[in-house]
Amino acid sequence: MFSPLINELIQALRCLPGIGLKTAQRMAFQILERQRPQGLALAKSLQSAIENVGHCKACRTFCESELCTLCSNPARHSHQLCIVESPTDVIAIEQTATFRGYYFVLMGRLSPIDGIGPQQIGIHQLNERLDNGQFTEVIIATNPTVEGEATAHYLANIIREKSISCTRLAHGIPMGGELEYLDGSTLSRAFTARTALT
Amino acid sequence: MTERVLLQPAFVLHARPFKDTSLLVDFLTRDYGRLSAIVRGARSQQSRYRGHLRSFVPILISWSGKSELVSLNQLEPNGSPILLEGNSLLAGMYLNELIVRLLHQHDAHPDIFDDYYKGISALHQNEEIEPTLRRFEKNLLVALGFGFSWAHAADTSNPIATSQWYAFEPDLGFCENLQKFNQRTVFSGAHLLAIAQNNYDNHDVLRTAKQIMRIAMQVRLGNKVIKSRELFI
Repeated sequence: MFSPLINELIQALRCLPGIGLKTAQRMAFQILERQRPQGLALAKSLQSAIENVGHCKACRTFCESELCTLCSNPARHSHQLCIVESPTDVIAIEQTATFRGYYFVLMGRLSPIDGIGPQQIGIHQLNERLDNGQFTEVIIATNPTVEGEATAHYLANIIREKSISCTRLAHGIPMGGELEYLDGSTLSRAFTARTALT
Repeated sequence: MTERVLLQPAFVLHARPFKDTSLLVDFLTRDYGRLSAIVRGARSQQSRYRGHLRSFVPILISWSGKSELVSLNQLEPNGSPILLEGNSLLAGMYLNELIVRLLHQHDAHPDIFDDYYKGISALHQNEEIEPTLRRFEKNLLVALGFGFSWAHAADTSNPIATSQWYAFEPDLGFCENLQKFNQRTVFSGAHLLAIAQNNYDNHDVLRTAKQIMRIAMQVRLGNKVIKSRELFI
Protein backbone atom coordinates (compact mmCIF):
# COMPACT_ATOMS: atom_id res chain seq x y z
CA MET A 1 0.00 0.00 0.00
CA PHE A 2 2.74 2.46 1.00
CA SER A 3 6.22 2.77 -0.37
CA PRO A 4 8.63 0.05 0.78
CA LEU A 5 10.48 2.15 3.37
CA ILE A 6 7.26 3.24 5.07
CA ASN A 7 5.96 -0.33 5.08
CA GLU A 8 9.18 -1.45 6.67
CA LEU A 9 8.85 1.18 9.42
CA ILE A 10 5.25 0.17 10.12
CA GLN A 11 6.18 -3.49 10.35
CA ALA A 12 9.10 -2.67 12.65
CA LEU A 13 6.88 -0.66 15.02
CA ARG A 14 4.48 -3.57 15.29
CA CYS A 15 7.02 -5.63 17.21
CA LEU A 16 6.10 -3.68 20.35
CA PRO A 17 3.42 -5.13 22.65
CA GLY A 18 -0.05 -3.67 22.14
CA ILE A 19 0.85 -2.00 18.81
CA GLY A 20 -1.43 -3.13 16.00
CA LEU A 21 -1.45 -2.13 12.34
CA LYS A 22 -3.44 1.11 12.78
CA THR A 23 -1.40 2.34 15.72
CA ALA A 24 1.82 1.56 13.89
CA GLN A 25 0.62 3.55 10.87
CA ARG A 26 -0.28 6.50 13.06
CA MET A 27 3.13 6.41 14.75
CA ALA A 28 4.99 6.17 11.46
CA PHE A 29 3.15 9.14 9.94
CA GLN A 30 3.53 11.22 13.08
CA ILE A 31 7.29 10.74 12.97
CA LEU A 32 7.57 11.42 9.25
CA GLU A 33 5.25 14.40 9.25
CA ARG A 34 5.97 16.29 12.41
CA GLN A 35 8.69 14.77 14.51
CA ARG A 36 11.64 13.96 12.31
CA PRO A 37 14.36 15.15 14.76
CA GLN A 38 12.70 13.28 17.64
CA GLY A 39 12.45 10.24 15.40
CA LEU A 40 16.15 10.36 14.73
CA ALA A 41 16.86 10.73 18.44
CA LEU A 42 14.64 7.70 19.08
CA ALA A 43 16.53 5.67 16.49
CA LYS A 44 19.85 6.67 18.01
CA SER A 45 18.90 5.89 21.59
CA LEU A 46 17.34 2.58 20.53
CA GLN A 47 20.54 1.60 18.79
CA SER A 48 22.87 2.58 21.59
CA ALA A 49 20.64 1.02 24.27
CA ILE A 50 20.46 -2.29 22.43
CA GLU A 51 24.19 -2.30 21.76
CA ASN A 52 25.31 -1.28 25.23
CA VAL A 53 22.74 -2.35 27.82
CA GLY A 54 23.34 -5.78 29.26
CA HIS A 55 22.69 -7.46 32.55
CA CYS A 56 24.41 -6.57 35.82
CA LYS A 57 26.85 -9.34 36.68
CA ALA A 58 25.69 -9.50 40.28
CA CYS A 59 21.94 -8.89 40.27
CA ARG A 60 20.90 -9.46 36.63
CA THR A 61 19.05 -6.16 36.30
CA PHE A 62 19.50 -4.10 33.12
CA CYS A 63 22.54 -1.81 33.08
CA GLU A 64 25.33 -0.75 30.71
CA SER A 65 28.25 -1.21 33.09
CA GLU A 66 29.46 -4.49 34.54
CA LEU A 67 27.81 -3.77 37.90
CA CYS A 68 24.69 -1.63 38.34
CA THR A 69 24.75 1.42 40.64
CA LEU A 70 23.03 -0.47 43.47
CA CYS A 71 25.43 -3.41 43.35
CA SER A 72 28.52 -1.22 43.19
CA ASN A 73 27.48 0.83 46.23
CA PRO A 74 29.63 -0.42 49.15
CA ALA A 75 27.53 1.47 51.73
CA ARG A 76 24.63 -0.97 51.49
CA HIS A 77 24.09 -3.76 54.03
CA SER A 78 26.13 -6.61 52.65
CA HIS A 79 24.42 -9.41 54.59
CA GLN A 80 20.90 -9.02 53.15
CA LEU A 81 19.72 -10.05 49.69
CA CYS A 82 16.26 -9.37 48.31
CA ILE A 83 15.01 -11.47 45.39
CA VAL A 84 12.49 -9.77 43.10
CA GLU A 85 10.86 -10.59 39.77
CA SER A 86 11.60 -7.50 37.71
CA PRO A 87 13.63 -4.26 37.66
CA THR A 88 10.46 -2.27 38.35
CA ASP A 89 10.10 -4.14 41.65
CA VAL A 90 13.58 -2.92 42.64
CA ILE A 91 12.47 0.66 42.02
CA ALA A 92 9.24 0.15 44.00
CA ILE A 93 11.17 -1.20 46.99
CA GLU A 94 13.87 1.49 46.74
CA GLN A 95 11.20 4.20 46.90
CA THR A 96 10.08 2.95 50.30
CA ALA A 97 13.67 3.35 51.63
CA THR A 98 13.13 0.50 54.11
CA PHE A 99 15.56 -1.98 52.61
CA ARG A 100 19.29 -1.23 52.47
CA GLY A 101 20.70 -4.55 51.26
CA TYR A 102 21.42 -5.89 47.79
CA TYR A 103 19.03 -7.24 45.15
CA PHE A 104 18.77 -10.16 42.80
CA VAL A 105 16.41 -9.77 39.83
CA LEU A 106 14.95 -13.00 38.40
CA MET A 107 13.73 -11.26 35.22
CA GLY A 108 10.53 -13.29 35.38
CA ARG A 109 9.00 -16.02 37.48
CA LEU A 110 8.73 -19.77 37.22
CA SER A 111 5.89 -20.35 34.80
CA PRO A 112 5.99 -23.85 33.28
CA ILE A 113 3.12 -23.19 30.87
CA ASP A 114 5.09 -20.30 29.35
CA GLY A 115 8.20 -22.50 29.23
CA ILE A 116 10.02 -20.58 31.97
CA GLY A 117 11.91 -22.94 34.25
CA PRO A 118 14.75 -22.59 36.78
CA GLN A 119 17.33 -22.05 34.00
CA GLN A 120 15.52 -19.00 32.64
CA ILE A 121 15.34 -17.19 35.98
CA GLY A 122 19.09 -17.38 36.47
CA ILE A 123 19.22 -20.01 39.17
CA HIS A 124 22.92 -20.71 38.49
CA GLN A 125 23.86 -17.09 39.03
CA LEU A 126 21.85 -16.98 42.22
CA ASN A 127 23.56 -20.12 43.48
CA GLU A 128 26.99 -18.61 42.82
CA ARG A 129 26.02 -15.41 44.57
CA LEU A 130 24.74 -17.28 47.64
CA ASP A 131 27.75 -19.58 47.76
CA ASN A 132 30.23 -16.79 48.42
CA GLY A 133 28.91 -16.70 52.00
CA GLN A 134 28.28 -12.96 52.16
CA PHE A 135 24.58 -13.14 52.94
CA THR A 136 22.96 -14.15 56.24
CA GLU A 137 19.39 -13.38 55.19
CA VAL A 138 17.57 -13.73 51.90
CA ILE A 139 14.23 -11.96 51.51
CA ILE A 140 12.01 -13.41 48.79
CA ALA A 141 9.84 -10.65 47.36
CA THR A 142 8.19 -12.36 44.39
CA ASN A 143 4.58 -11.37 43.64
CA PRO A 144 1.78 -13.14 45.55
CA THR A 145 0.49 -14.74 42.33
CA VAL A 146 0.37 -18.50 41.85
CA GLU A 147 3.61 -18.42 39.83
CA GLY A 148 5.27 -16.04 42.28
CA GLU A 149 4.39 -18.33 45.20
CA ALA A 150 5.74 -21.36 43.36
CA THR A 151 8.95 -19.46 42.64
CA ALA A 152 9.24 -18.50 46.31
CA HIS A 153 8.78 -22.10 47.39
CA TYR A 154 11.35 -23.34 44.90
CA LEU A 155 13.90 -20.70 45.93
CA ALA A 156 13.27 -21.31 49.64
CA ASN A 157 14.14 -25.01 49.17
CA ILE A 158 17.46 -24.06 47.60
CA ILE A 159 18.30 -21.36 50.14
CA ARG A 160 17.45 -23.53 53.15
CA GLU A 161 19.93 -26.16 51.98
CA LYS A 162 22.66 -23.56 52.23
CA SER A 163 21.63 -22.81 55.85
CA ILE A 164 20.92 -19.16 55.11
CA SER A 165 17.93 -17.59 56.84
CA CYS A 166 15.11 -17.13 54.36
CA THR A 167 12.10 -14.83 54.74
CA ARG A 168 9.09 -13.97 52.58
CA LEU A 169 7.25 -10.65 52.41
CA ALA A 170 3.97 -10.69 54.39
CA HIS A 171 0.62 -10.80 52.59
CA GLY A 172 -2.55 -9.29 53.92
CA ILE A 173 -4.93 -6.39 54.02
CA PRO A 174 -3.71 -3.29 52.16
CA MET A 175 -3.28 -0.04 54.13
CA GLY A 176 -6.55 1.88 54.21
CA GLY A 177 -8.43 -1.17 52.91
CA GLU A 178 -11.82 -2.32 54.14
CA LEU A 179 -12.53 -5.94 55.05
CA GLU A 180 -15.96 -5.80 53.47
CA TYR A 181 -14.52 -5.32 49.99
CA LEU A 182 -11.60 -7.72 50.31
CA ASP A 183 -11.50 -10.93 48.30
CA GLY A 184 -11.66 -14.26 50.12
CA SER A 185 -8.11 -15.41 49.34
CA THR A 186 -6.47 -12.29 50.75
CA LEU A 187 -8.67 -12.27 53.82
CA SER A 188 -8.07 -15.92 54.69
CA ARG A 189 -4.34 -15.40 54.06
CA ALA A 190 -4.40 -12.44 56.43
CA PHE A 191 -6.09 -14.59 59.07
CA THR A 192 -3.57 -17.41 58.91
CA ALA A 193 -0.65 -14.96 59.01
CA ARG A 194 -2.05 -12.80 61.84
CA THR A 195 0.46 -11.31 64.29
CA ALA A 196 0.31 -10.85 68.06
CA LEU A 197 -0.24 -7.33 69.38
CA THR A 198 2.38 -6.42 71.91
CA MET B 1 -20.95 -22.05 19.09
CA THR B 2 -22.78 -20.18 21.82
CA GLU B 3 -22.84 -16.45 21.90
CA ARG B 4 -23.46 -15.91 25.56
CA VAL B 5 -22.93 -18.29 28.46
CA LEU B 6 -23.98 -17.51 32.00
CA LEU B 7 -22.42 -18.54 35.31
CA GLN B 8 -20.41 -21.51 34.21
CA PRO B 9 -18.28 -23.24 36.91
CA ALA B 10 -14.63 -22.72 36.07
CA PHE B 11 -11.02 -22.60 37.23
CA VAL B 12 -8.20 -20.41 35.99
CA LEU B 13 -5.46 -22.54 34.43
CA HIS B 14 -3.15 -19.81 33.31
CA ALA B 15 -3.16 -16.05 32.86
CA ARG B 16 -0.83 -13.79 30.98
CA PRO B 17 -0.75 -10.01 30.64
CA PHE B 18 -2.40 -8.50 27.59
CA LYS B 19 -2.20 -4.80 26.69
CA ASP B 20 -1.87 -2.37 29.58
CA THR B 21 -4.39 -3.65 32.07
CA SER B 22 -6.00 -6.76 30.58
CA LEU B 23 -5.33 -10.45 30.95
CA LEU B 24 -5.55 -13.36 28.55
CA VAL B 25 -6.84 -16.21 30.67
CA ASP B 26 -7.10 -19.93 30.01
CA PHE B 27 -10.09 -21.33 31.90
CA LEU B 28 -11.13 -24.90 32.53
CA THR B 29 -14.93 -24.83 32.47
CA ARG B 30 -17.23 -27.69 33.35
CA ASP B 31 -19.43 -27.79 30.25
CA TYR B 32 -17.34 -25.96 27.64
CA GLY B 33 -13.90 -27.47 28.23
CA ARG B 34 -10.82 -25.32 27.99
CA LEU B 35 -11.54 -21.76 27.00
CA SER B 36 -9.41 -18.67 26.30
CA ALA B 37 -10.88 -15.35 27.30
CA ILE B 38 -9.88 -11.71 27.46
CA VAL B 39 -10.54 -10.16 30.84
CA ARG B 40 -10.48 -6.42 30.31
CA GLY B 41 -9.08 -4.23 33.06
CA ALA B 42 -8.17 -7.23 35.23
CA ARG B 43 -4.80 -5.80 36.16
CA SER B 44 -5.97 -2.29 36.97
CA GLN B 45 -6.00 -0.98 40.54
CA GLN B 46 -9.79 -0.93 40.78
CA SER B 47 -10.44 -4.32 39.20
CA ARG B 48 -13.32 -6.23 40.76
CA TYR B 49 -11.68 -9.46 39.80
CA ARG B 50 -8.55 -9.03 41.89
CA GLY B 51 -7.84 -12.07 44.01
CA HIS B 52 -10.47 -14.18 42.23
CA LEU B 53 -8.58 -14.52 38.99
CA ARG B 54 -5.96 -16.94 40.22
CA SER B 55 -5.54 -20.65 39.81
CA PHE B 56 -7.29 -23.03 42.21
CA VAL B 57 -10.08 -20.59 43.09
CA PRO B 58 -13.52 -22.03 42.17
CA ILE B 59 -15.41 -19.38 40.24
CA LEU B 60 -18.50 -18.90 38.09
CA ILE B 61 -17.90 -17.04 34.84
CA SER B 62 -20.10 -15.54 32.15
CA TRP B 63 -18.74 -14.72 28.73
CA SER B 64 -19.80 -13.70 25.27
CA GLY B 65 -18.26 -14.05 21.85
CA LYS B 66 -18.26 -16.36 18.89
CA SER B 67 -14.60 -16.62 18.02
CA GLU B 68 -11.80 -18.70 19.56
CA LEU B 69 -11.17 -15.91 22.02
CA VAL B 70 -14.22 -14.85 24.00
CA SER B 71 -14.53 -11.92 26.36
CA LEU B 72 -15.41 -12.30 30.00
CA ASN B 73 -18.42 -10.37 31.27
CA GLN B 74 -18.83 -11.50 34.83
CA LEU B 75 -17.03 -13.44 37.52
CA GLU B 76 -18.23 -14.63 40.91
CA PRO B 77 -16.59 -16.74 43.59
CA ASN B 78 -18.04 -20.26 43.80
CA GLY B 79 -17.03 -21.78 47.12
CA SER B 80 -14.00 -21.16 49.23
CA PRO B 81 -10.64 -20.67 47.52
CA ILE B 82 -8.19 -23.54 47.58
CA LEU B 83 -4.89 -22.14 48.81
CA LEU B 84 -2.14 -24.52 47.81
CA GLU B 85 1.31 -24.11 49.30
CA GLY B 86 4.73 -25.62 48.87
CA ASN B 87 4.95 -28.87 46.97
CA SER B 88 1.15 -29.09 46.69
CA LEU B 89 1.27 -25.81 44.76
CA LEU B 90 3.89 -27.20 42.37
CA ALA B 91 1.75 -30.33 41.94
CA GLY B 92 -1.27 -28.13 41.19
CA MET B 93 0.72 -26.28 38.54
CA TYR B 94 1.66 -29.64 37.04
CA LEU B 95 -2.05 -30.52 36.71
CA ASN B 96 -2.70 -27.14 35.07
CA GLU B 97 0.11 -27.68 32.58
CA LEU B 98 -1.12 -31.19 31.74
CA ILE B 99 -4.60 -29.87 30.99
CA VAL B 100 -3.34 -26.94 28.91
CA ARG B 101 -1.12 -29.25 26.85
CA LEU B 102 -3.54 -32.16 26.42
CA LEU B 103 -7.07 -30.80 26.36
CA HIS B 104 -8.22 -29.14 23.15
CA GLN B 105 -10.12 -25.88 23.31
CA HIS B 106 -13.92 -26.13 23.54
CA ASP B 107 -13.72 -29.88 24.10
CA ALA B 108 -16.24 -30.40 26.90
CA HIS B 109 -15.23 -32.85 29.63
CA PRO B 110 -17.30 -32.50 32.82
CA ASP B 111 -15.52 -35.59 34.17
CA ILE B 112 -12.09 -33.94 33.86
CA PHE B 113 -13.45 -30.84 35.58
CA ASP B 114 -14.74 -32.93 38.50
CA ASP B 115 -11.49 -34.89 38.73
CA TYR B 116 -9.51 -31.68 38.69
CA TYR B 117 -11.65 -30.22 41.49
CA LYS B 118 -11.21 -33.41 43.50
CA GLY B 119 -7.49 -33.51 42.79
CA ILE B 120 -6.70 -30.00 43.94
CA SER B 121 -8.98 -30.40 46.97
CA ALA B 122 -6.98 -33.52 47.89
CA LEU B 123 -3.74 -31.57 47.48
CA HIS B 124 -5.17 -28.85 49.69
CA GLN B 125 -6.02 -31.35 52.42
CA ASN B 126 -2.38 -32.39 52.39
CA GLU B 127 -3.11 -35.83 51.10
CA GLU B 128 -0.06 -37.46 49.63
CA ILE B 129 0.87 -35.75 46.42
CA GLU B 130 2.01 -38.63 44.22
CA PRO B 131 -1.07 -40.88 44.53
CA THR B 132 -3.27 -37.85 43.85
CA LEU B 133 -1.34 -37.04 40.67
CA ARG B 134 -1.40 -40.67 39.49
CA ARG B 135 -5.18 -40.94 40.05
CA PHE B 136 -5.72 -37.75 38.07
CA GLU B 137 -3.45 -38.85 35.21
CA LYS B 138 -5.18 -42.23 35.01
CA ASN B 139 -8.64 -40.65 34.82
CA LEU B 140 -7.41 -38.02 32.36
CA LEU B 141 -6.22 -40.68 29.90
CA VAL B 142 -9.59 -42.40 30.07
CA ALA B 143 -11.51 -39.16 29.63
CA LEU B 144 -9.42 -38.18 26.60
CA GLY B 145 -10.09 -41.56 25.02
CA PHE B 146 -6.61 -42.94 25.53
CA GLY B 147 -7.52 -45.34 28.34
CA PHE B 148 -6.40 -48.96 28.48
CA SER B 149 -7.33 -51.92 30.61
CA TRP B 150 -5.50 -52.46 33.88
CA ALA B 151 -7.24 -55.79 34.49
CA HIS B 152 -6.77 -57.67 31.21
CA ALA B 153 -3.79 -58.23 28.95
CA ALA B 154 -4.27 -56.43 25.62
CA ASP B 155 -2.85 -59.13 23.35
CA THR B 156 -4.43 -62.26 24.89
CA SER B 157 -7.40 -60.81 26.85
CA ASN B 158 -6.37 -62.97 29.81
CA PRO B 159 -6.89 -61.40 33.22
CA ILE B 160 -3.72 -59.78 34.58
CA ALA B 161 -2.06 -62.29 36.93
CA THR B 162 -0.17 -61.20 40.02
CA SER B 163 2.84 -63.42 39.33
CA GLN B 164 3.19 -62.48 35.66
CA TRP B 165 5.26 -59.70 33.99
CA TYR B 166 3.86 -57.43 31.27
CA ALA B 167 5.18 -55.13 28.58
CA PHE B 168 3.47 -51.75 28.11
CA GLU B 169 2.31 -50.50 24.71
CA PRO B 170 0.69 -47.04 25.08
CA ASP B 171 -1.74 -47.65 22.21
CA LEU B 172 -2.83 -51.10 23.36
CA GLY B 173 -2.20 -51.60 27.03
CA PHE B 174 -0.33 -54.33 28.84
CA CYS B 175 0.88 -57.29 26.82
CA GLU B 176 1.78 -60.79 27.90
CA ASN B 177 3.89 -61.58 24.88
CA LEU B 178 7.20 -60.05 25.95
CA GLN B 179 9.02 -61.26 22.81
CA LYS B 180 6.62 -59.65 20.38
CA PHE B 181 6.47 -56.36 22.26
CA ASN B 182 10.16 -56.03 22.84
CA GLN B 183 10.36 -53.61 25.74
CA ARG B 184 13.20 -52.46 27.92
CA THR B 185 11.01 -52.35 31.01
CA VAL B 186 8.42 -54.85 32.13
CA PHE B 187 5.86 -54.36 34.86
CA SER B 188 4.68 -56.70 37.58
CA GLY B 189 1.07 -57.91 37.37
CA ALA B 190 0.64 -57.41 41.11
CA HIS B 191 1.54 -53.72 40.73
CA LEU B 192 -0.85 -53.27 37.80
CA LEU B 193 -3.75 -54.76 39.77
CA ALA B 194 -2.96 -52.46 42.71
CA ILE B 195 -2.95 -49.43 40.39
CA ALA B 196 -6.26 -50.61 38.86
CA GLN B 197 -7.78 -50.28 42.33
CA ASN B 198 -6.00 -46.99 43.03
CA ASN B 199 -4.17 -48.66 45.88
CA TYR B 200 -0.84 -46.84 46.18
CA ASP B 201 0.16 -47.86 49.72
CA ASN B 202 3.24 -49.65 48.47
CA HIS B 203 6.18 -47.49 47.35
CA ASP B 204 7.11 -49.82 44.49
CA VAL B 205 3.56 -49.66 43.13
CA LEU B 206 3.81 -45.88 43.15
CA ARG B 207 7.09 -46.00 41.24
CA THR B 208 5.63 -48.39 38.66
CA ALA B 209 2.60 -46.12 38.24
CA LYS B 210 4.87 -43.12 37.70
CA GLN B 211 6.90 -44.95 35.03
CA ILE B 212 3.80 -46.10 33.17
CA MET B 213 2.19 -42.66 33.30
CA ARG B 214 5.38 -41.01 32.06
CA ILE B 215 5.40 -43.27 29.00
CA ALA B 216 1.65 -42.95 28.38
CA MET B 217 1.65 -39.15 28.79
CA GLN B 218 4.70 -38.62 26.61
CA VAL B 219 3.03 -40.43 23.70
CA ARG B 220 0.03 -38.07 23.95
CA LEU B 221 2.20 -34.98 24.45
CA GLY B 222 4.32 -35.67 21.37
CA ASN B 223 7.25 -33.29 21.42
CA LYS B 224 5.77 -31.00 24.07
CA VAL B 225 7.69 -30.94 27.31
CA ILE B 226 6.10 -30.76 30.74
CA LYS B 227 8.20 -28.03 32.31
CA SER B 228 6.68 -28.32 35.80
CA ARG B 229 8.66 -31.49 36.40
CA GLU B 230 11.84 -29.42 36.63
CA LEU B 231 10.48 -27.70 39.72
CA PHE B 232 10.36 -30.77 41.92
CA ILE B 233 13.65 -30.96 43.77
